[in-house]
Amino acid sequence: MSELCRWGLSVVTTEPLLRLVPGPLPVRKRRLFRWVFLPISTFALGGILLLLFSGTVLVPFEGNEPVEGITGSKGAFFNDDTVKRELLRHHIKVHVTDVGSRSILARDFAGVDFAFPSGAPAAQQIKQKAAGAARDPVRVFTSPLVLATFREFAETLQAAGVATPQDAGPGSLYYKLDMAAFLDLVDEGKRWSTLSVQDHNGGRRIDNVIVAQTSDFCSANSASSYLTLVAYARGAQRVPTDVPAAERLGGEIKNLLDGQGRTDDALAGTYLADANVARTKPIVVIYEHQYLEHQIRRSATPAGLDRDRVLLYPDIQLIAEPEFIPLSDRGEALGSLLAGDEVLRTRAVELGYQLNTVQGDAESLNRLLDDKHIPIPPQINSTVGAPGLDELEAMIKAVSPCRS
Amino acid sequence: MPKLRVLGVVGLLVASVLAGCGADPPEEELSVLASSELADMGPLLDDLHKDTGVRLRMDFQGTVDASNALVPLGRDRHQAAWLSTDSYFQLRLAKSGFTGEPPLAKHTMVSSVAIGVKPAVAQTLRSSAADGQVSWADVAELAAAGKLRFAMADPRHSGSGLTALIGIATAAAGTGKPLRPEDVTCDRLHGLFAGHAAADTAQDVLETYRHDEDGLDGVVNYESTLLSLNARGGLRTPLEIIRPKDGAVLSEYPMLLLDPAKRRAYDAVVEWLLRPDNQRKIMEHTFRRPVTADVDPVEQLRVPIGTALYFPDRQDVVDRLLTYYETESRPRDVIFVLDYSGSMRGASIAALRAAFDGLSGADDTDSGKFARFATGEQVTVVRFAQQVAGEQTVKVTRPEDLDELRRFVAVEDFGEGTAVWGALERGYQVAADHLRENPDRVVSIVLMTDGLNNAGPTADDFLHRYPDFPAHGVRTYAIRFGTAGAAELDRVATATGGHMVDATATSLPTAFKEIRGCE
Repeated sequence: MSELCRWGLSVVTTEPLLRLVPGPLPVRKRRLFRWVFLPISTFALGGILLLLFSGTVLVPFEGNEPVEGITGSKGAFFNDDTVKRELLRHHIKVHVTDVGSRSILARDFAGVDFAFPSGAPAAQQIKQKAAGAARDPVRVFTSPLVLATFREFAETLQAAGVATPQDAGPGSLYYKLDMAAFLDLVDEGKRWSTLSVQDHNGGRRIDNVIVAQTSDFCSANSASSYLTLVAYARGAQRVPTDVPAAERLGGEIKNLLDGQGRTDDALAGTYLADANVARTKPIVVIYEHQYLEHQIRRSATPAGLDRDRVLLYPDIQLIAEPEFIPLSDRGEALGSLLAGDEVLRTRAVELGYQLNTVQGDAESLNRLLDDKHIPIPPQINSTVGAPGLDELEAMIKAVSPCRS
Repeated sequence: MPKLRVLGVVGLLVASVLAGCGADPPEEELSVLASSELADMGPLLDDLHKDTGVRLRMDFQGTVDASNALVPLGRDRHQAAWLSTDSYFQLRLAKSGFTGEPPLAKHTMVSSVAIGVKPAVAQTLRSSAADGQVSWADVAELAAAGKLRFAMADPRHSGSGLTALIGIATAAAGTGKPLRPEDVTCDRLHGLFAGHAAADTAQDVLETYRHDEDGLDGVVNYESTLLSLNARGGLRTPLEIIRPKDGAVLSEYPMLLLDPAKRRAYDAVVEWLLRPDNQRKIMEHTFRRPVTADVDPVEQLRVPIGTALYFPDRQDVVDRLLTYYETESRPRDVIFVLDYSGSMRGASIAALRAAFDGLSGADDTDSGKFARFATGEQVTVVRFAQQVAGEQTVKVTRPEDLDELRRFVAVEDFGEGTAVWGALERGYQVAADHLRENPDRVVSIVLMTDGLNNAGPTADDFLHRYPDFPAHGVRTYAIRFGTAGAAELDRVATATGGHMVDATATSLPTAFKEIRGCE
């Protein structure tokens, strides 16, 4: 309903029709009004009303039903106002259910037009399950996995020799994280107080042990990606290539990952909302685009850049590549639009994504950041590929008891 | 002006369509099982109805009760649930063996548990805390000393009570991590709960406090609820809100969709709740913090809440905490059976004295503050050598009672033999007497010895007779010191349901502290 309203409003407000002009009009203008403007506008309005009532303007796209998607965190893309508007211009309305990338697999695909997991391993499983129904996937954008934190925690890690600010000045948004050294701190059960966090936060003791908090390993691609990163760092700089090795390594790294109680499925949301709430979780694993979207939005406000929230870039990087997997004709049509539409691509960059080199210009994000005077994130040269599906599942099982 | 009239008609037509579009969405009802404190959302829900056409029909229950009602899934008839936290529900759901699609859940706002106290109490708490940063240990210390009487919701029913209990227990365990089953083997919170005046769900707690403002010193509840209580102005003395430095368990008020057929209404409600302007209204009206970005906190919320204390990811941990909680309101009775054989001379008796000093209030560490003797507790000391040499019982009501106990422990009157099991039998007689006086007591025995049994009955004799003791079932916790035999002590302690702690590996004060709350 609100879509209809937004659409209707945007059409009408672009016309001067509704501006009720006070006082009598000059004669010449009145004539013009009577013989040209009025009939045309009345006709146009009638047409609009007809279309509004019949509903055809909204979704001539096979009746009135929105295109249904099951997604991970990338579902948020379709809830963006600019994206919605552009899709409506193409007569497409999208309705998404965000269940976590890895949980998509467990869902019933009946009536679902597309799946949109945040990473390749989940995508591979979904394509296997959907078999014949899955069309060629669309890979539009990517985003690296990052550890998001606040200034005082980054400074504490810097003082411990684990993190290095990218910029020399006091306000660096990005720090490089020595992943091996960081995991040693976690392994030793070092507390924030032990590392003197109170020297950086105005004297408040924090007796929690240091850990990077993730979403649920069973359901979230970001969590399983972080697990992969940790496995790589602790497994002699490679991911396990057979299941027994994966089980073994999973058991070894369990204590680096599971000290966080019940996990939060809305980590990025929590991190970017109320700062005092966000600080309850000193380090969270999110995607870079979620942070950059925040900074791009903030840079346009009087408050300017948020120099309180900063990112830790592990010195080994994992780049998540969301895959849009069409499961129906409607899904396929949406996928084509996603791949080819300039407005959507531009918007993706504004939402902090890097464009896939095949689909677009990989430099466009950096150009946008530069335009907005947002520092460009560090270039990490060492990247980790995903392990095999069986190996990943084995590691997850070793770390966390999944429901199914 | 006929033309303008035409224009007017057209304009009206368009306007009415657009207006109808905005204000007249299809009417729908959504039945919601909601946490009790969400009654404060009432006025906002009218706006929600106006804007979305969805009327929430709310039934209120304590969060824990509601979570219990929702599992197994499908039994409860509500179409949605709106709980302060769904952690307990999710744990229950997992434990029930559920493997289907879990209900959609979306966080809608955030609060965390704090303690509101009268300004004078806040002052005392701050002055006793290191760097003026109050911890739950400081709260426990004051409560154990009988100087802080507070209301707190029952964690068996209410979300605020449960998250408070988990947070405080996590702080008491002091691991800096989520509670594990092995962290909850003993009740470390008895001292704190000595100050607890019981209440039921979140709203009732506030009633309790309002009605007994003179008799109580504070309330443990959500920060949001405490701020609302102050803002409404019904109190004679506004509460000072203390967010203990240990941090807090967050309550994120997820909205859960139980009936997939109501998805449209659910989406509309969630979308409305998460709109920044509505998030701001919610914050201003309820003092719950926003979950969306770019909503500036109101004055009262520009305060750090520390770091997360974790909600455990295991149901058994929560169950265990609740089991200990069940006994909190019952009077405590500890019987110390202490070895005063000659080998205890010198350093050993000094260590024993230090242990009792620590439990009487001298131990200023966080764990020490949680472990100390609490008001209302009854403590008995049985001294033995070749036979029982003396006994004293005090009921702790004033600091002087503890002085008396410490004087009795400090007496240097040593005998030559070591009749461990005969003395323990005496301990069970005392236990039986105390239980006869008041069957509701939680009685336990702490046996400390530094040598081998060389007089009176043997361990086997003791175990043979144990089932016939009137007080059998009372647990014995053994502290091994000096040259005492570990295997035998452990065998007997375990047979009574207790266990042994080895003080030779640590120290007597540490061992006594470790065993506190296990009794």
